[in-house]
Amino acid sequence: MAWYQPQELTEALDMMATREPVIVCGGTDVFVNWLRRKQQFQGRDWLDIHRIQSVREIRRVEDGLLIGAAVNAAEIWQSPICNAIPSLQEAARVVGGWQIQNRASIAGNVANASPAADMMVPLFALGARVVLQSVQGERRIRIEDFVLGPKQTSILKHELITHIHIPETGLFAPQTFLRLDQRGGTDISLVSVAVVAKVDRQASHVNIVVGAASPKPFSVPMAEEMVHKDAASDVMKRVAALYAAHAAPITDVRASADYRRAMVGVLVERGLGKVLLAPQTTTG
Amino acid sequence: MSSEVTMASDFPAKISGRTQYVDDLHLPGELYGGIVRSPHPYAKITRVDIREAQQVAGVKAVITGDNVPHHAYGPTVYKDWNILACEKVLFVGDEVVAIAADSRDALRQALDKVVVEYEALEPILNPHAALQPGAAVLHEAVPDNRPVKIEFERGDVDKAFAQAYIVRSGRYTTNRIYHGHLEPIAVIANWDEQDGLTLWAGSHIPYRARETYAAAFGLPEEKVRINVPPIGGSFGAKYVLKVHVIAAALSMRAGAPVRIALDRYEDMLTAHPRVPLEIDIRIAADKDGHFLGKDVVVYGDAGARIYWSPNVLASACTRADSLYQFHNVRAKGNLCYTNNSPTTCMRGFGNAEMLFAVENVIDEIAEGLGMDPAQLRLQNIVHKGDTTIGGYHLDSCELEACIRQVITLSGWARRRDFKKYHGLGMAIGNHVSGYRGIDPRFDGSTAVARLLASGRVEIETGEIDLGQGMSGTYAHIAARVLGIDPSFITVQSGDTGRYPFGIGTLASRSTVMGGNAVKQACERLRNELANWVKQHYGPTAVLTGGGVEVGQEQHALAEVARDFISCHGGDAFSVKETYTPATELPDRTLYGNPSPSYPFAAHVAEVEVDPDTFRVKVIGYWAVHDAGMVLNRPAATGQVVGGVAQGIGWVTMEDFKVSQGQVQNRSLLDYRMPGSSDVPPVTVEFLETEDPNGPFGAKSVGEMAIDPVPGAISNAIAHALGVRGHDLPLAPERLWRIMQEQPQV
Amino acid sequence: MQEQHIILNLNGEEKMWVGDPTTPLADVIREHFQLTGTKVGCRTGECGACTIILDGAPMNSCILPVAMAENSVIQTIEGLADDRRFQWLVTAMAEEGGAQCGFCTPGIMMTLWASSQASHGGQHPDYHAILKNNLCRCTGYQSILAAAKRVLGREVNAIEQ
Repeated sequence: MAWYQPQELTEALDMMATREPVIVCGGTDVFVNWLRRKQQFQGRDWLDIHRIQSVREIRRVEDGLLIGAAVNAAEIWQSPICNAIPSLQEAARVVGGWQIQNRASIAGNVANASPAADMMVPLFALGARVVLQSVQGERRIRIEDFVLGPKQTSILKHELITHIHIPETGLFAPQTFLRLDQRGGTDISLVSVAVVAKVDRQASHVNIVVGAASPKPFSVPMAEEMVHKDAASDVMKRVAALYAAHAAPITDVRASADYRRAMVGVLVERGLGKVLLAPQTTTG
Repeated sequence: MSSEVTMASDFPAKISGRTQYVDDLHLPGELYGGIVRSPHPYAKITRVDIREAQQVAGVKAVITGDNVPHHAYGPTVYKDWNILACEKVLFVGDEVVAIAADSRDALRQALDKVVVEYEALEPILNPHAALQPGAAVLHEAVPDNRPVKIEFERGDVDKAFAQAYIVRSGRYTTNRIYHGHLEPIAVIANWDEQDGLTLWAGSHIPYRARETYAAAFGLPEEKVRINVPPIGGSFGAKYVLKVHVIAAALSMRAGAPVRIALDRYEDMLTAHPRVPLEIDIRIAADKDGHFLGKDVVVYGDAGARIYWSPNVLASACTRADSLYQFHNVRAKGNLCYTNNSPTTCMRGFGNAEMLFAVENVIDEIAEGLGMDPAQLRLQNIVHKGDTTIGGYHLDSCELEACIRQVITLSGWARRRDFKKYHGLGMAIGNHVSGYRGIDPRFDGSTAVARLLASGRVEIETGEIDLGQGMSGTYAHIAARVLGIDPSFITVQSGDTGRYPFGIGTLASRSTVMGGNAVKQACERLRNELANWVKQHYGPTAVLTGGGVEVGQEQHALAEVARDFISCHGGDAFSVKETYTPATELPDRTLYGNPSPSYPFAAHVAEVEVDPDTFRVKVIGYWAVHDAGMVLNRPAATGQVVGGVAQGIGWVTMEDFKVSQGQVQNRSLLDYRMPGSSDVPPVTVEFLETEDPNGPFGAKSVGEMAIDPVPGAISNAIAHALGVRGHDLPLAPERLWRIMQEQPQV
Repeated sequence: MQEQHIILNLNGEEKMWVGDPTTPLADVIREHFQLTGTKVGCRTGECGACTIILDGAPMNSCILPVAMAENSVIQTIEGLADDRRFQWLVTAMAEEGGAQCGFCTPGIMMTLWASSQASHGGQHPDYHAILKNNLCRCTGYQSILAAAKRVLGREVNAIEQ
């Protein structure tokens, strides 16, 4: 067992090829687990990728945005480039508090695949792709295909998440992220929703993704199709009701399934109202 | 800043991180101690095997119920504690085996290697189950599982209710609240054949802790010494604790100092929360809104052992009777053993719980009569000069003025025009400044005042500062008596081997009890010194604040101090005084005048409730207090704001969720305490009049701060929603459920 | 776990530490370097009492493996003792009654200090957002916010001039 902190991605990938290290980007979640359940980590090396420059950057690329795996929540909400995706910035701003935001990485949020993960929800709505690399090469996979369920992803043994790619369509589109908290201090969302209106010539199509109310963030395509740019409030109500009906929330110490389900409807309606009734953002 | 500001001298150290709490201290050769705890709420221990644990390198002591003393002991008159469990475990977290090792890793390994086998028994999970015929008996000395039963009637309650024009009633429940001290519980214990047992432990009643721990080991009290480092928050959590006893037992076995520092998880798993109460209440009034009677039945869950739950139940059953003129009151209180973690006192001490019920029912009566709830309160409250139906002598009482002022400050008249989901609620409250019944043997406080060679004055007290500002208040009192600047006063406390006896900081007693003792000691110091300077410097010598004047000649206080010391074999000028309040020990029906003075307050809360999620946001808060004369304004204000914040947490979000005796939300993420944005600006005002029994007219403020909060916020929520919640907390999901159950209009 | 030599830039001094690289930085600071101004309240990053500043950003040192702090500039509250502007904040906190039991206070001071060094994008800092990860059970926050507003942000610059 040792701690590796490579400066180059190739070093990290080489290490991934030969061992199964515990990967650390920000380390907020994994390290709390380690402190509590050390035996589960027995014999494993640690691979700390937060010193690898290429996974620390946020870049505008030809077909969208590329966010490095180790970019943290505070960097996202402070990044002028990320002003193009305010829904993700809003989610980044409610992850824990400032101290956590200074470490919690976007890849960690995705890789943990916690049903209550905040940043994952706008990533779904933005149609994000997870960029995975291994010594064999790179592959990109849609985030909804990457996340399989609670703490389950389709990552392969020797792969490392290096970036999150946000396609062009979501940039500067009207969008929002809403989260139901129970206090002003750090909290875990009971339910969250991201709404992104896709901007293309044909007019309106919205992505509505709900988090924390099913094993992974979900959308209801049939309901999304019902929404038009000038959607009347009764349409929004019906869409909200459909989402509530499709939710598969659990009862736990934070809330009951009933309440979560009802709140799915509330948040979807509010999110739609906020995006569709707000003045449109125009250019980038 | 005004001149009456007395800055506690420990502030710069605390703020700069120089203050050292228990876990910041280290003794040479100290060991790490840890505890194997029961995972069952109730079980028979069938096997304990510590052999493998003993083999772990670095392990210095392993103790079990079989090799520790078994004296009947406990911090109150109920002697139901042990050191480690022997035959049965009584709650999740009950201590079975304890280990001391020379490293954290060795300790962890050894704890993992202890084998304990249990035969699970059917647990008793609430007071009603405890009283069922045939229920298991948790403590042989109490065959009915009901260690405390309170029953009294003053006046004729049945007759009063028969004559009533209006009666409102309900069942109100208050929940388990975690104290939320930011410093987890920690202790260092050291056993030495010669000196006995020394503990470094956060306890704000260290002399009772000393007595209790001595009894646990069959030691004379003088063989136990408790040092109290600064305490990182308590609110009732850090009185007398089993963890301290177990660390001591480990140190005795290992022959080395032992530190036990709980992490947050263990602190929460084993916490002794606020006593949950189930309150059946009814209040009767005539058609003009004059109260005729109050009738309550209370069930309290003591958990598996007695900490301070009996006293909490007693406060719940009695205190409100000295706030309103109910004329006829009856109370039945039942405290029951269960297989939950023992419960104990927390700021508000049963009174805040009962006021939650009382203040809601009073609002319901106002609604029923079509009266302004503030007006209804005004016409039923107690006044200065009253001897209440519970026996309290109110030598000062500005309650009426508090209500009138909070009406003005809060803009109470706005209430009529609020739209739905916007509410304004009022509640009032009273408290004690010390309670005679804490220790039937005696009450009061002792202080030493000493003129040091430097010219500074040192005050010693047995009471404990836990951040509430006691030291600053005492410095203010001493300075005022002696006519010197408070910065020349040092207040010392927190070592039972060194400082005078004190009952401790509980029942909001430190300002009045300890303050009176400090005042008396300083008066005597001043008077005796004034006499001595006449002997020493001549009959014309006059003691002034800064020193002594003899004609044109000036002697600074430091010089006077040194002269005195030179004349007295090197010893400093020192006096000791005891203040004994003229209070009465409550009788068997809890009647009597238990405190030298009673503070009062009137609070108003303004809330907005989200019409869909039902999250409550407290958007305004006004608190007007009669705390007598305020001696330490920043501290007093801080007590009120802090109490209000805790109350906001209590009513709107906090709940220690226990299932099958096990706390489910064992983290500060899932046990939600308020963050900064949950607390609105709180307007605090003190209506100052002198109480004749307080030091310079002061009364208490610490617990008074939280007493009305649950009532005020819940009344505001009821005003906002038009529906009343009866069970704390009124968290979003609970309110949502209540509203779901309402018939749709 | 393989022991590692780790060089830490702690309060402006280079320090060598040898041990398990996954040791929480809070434990290294408190136990090895005996800087006990950093308090540990939860060990899960929820209470903020252990806040230190790493490369200008406040972080919970209780859940920061010491290895991640190598090659970074670490500031603990002890390192700020001589800073005149930090002392203004100390004085303001004392005068406003911003501390009671004091256990959460060093962490809050570190967060506020980090905020005074941050740009906030030219905006007036939102102290509720800044303090979201710092719990205080005693004060109700009002006095802390008052002290912060009095001293930090633009006012600091005003005092400087």
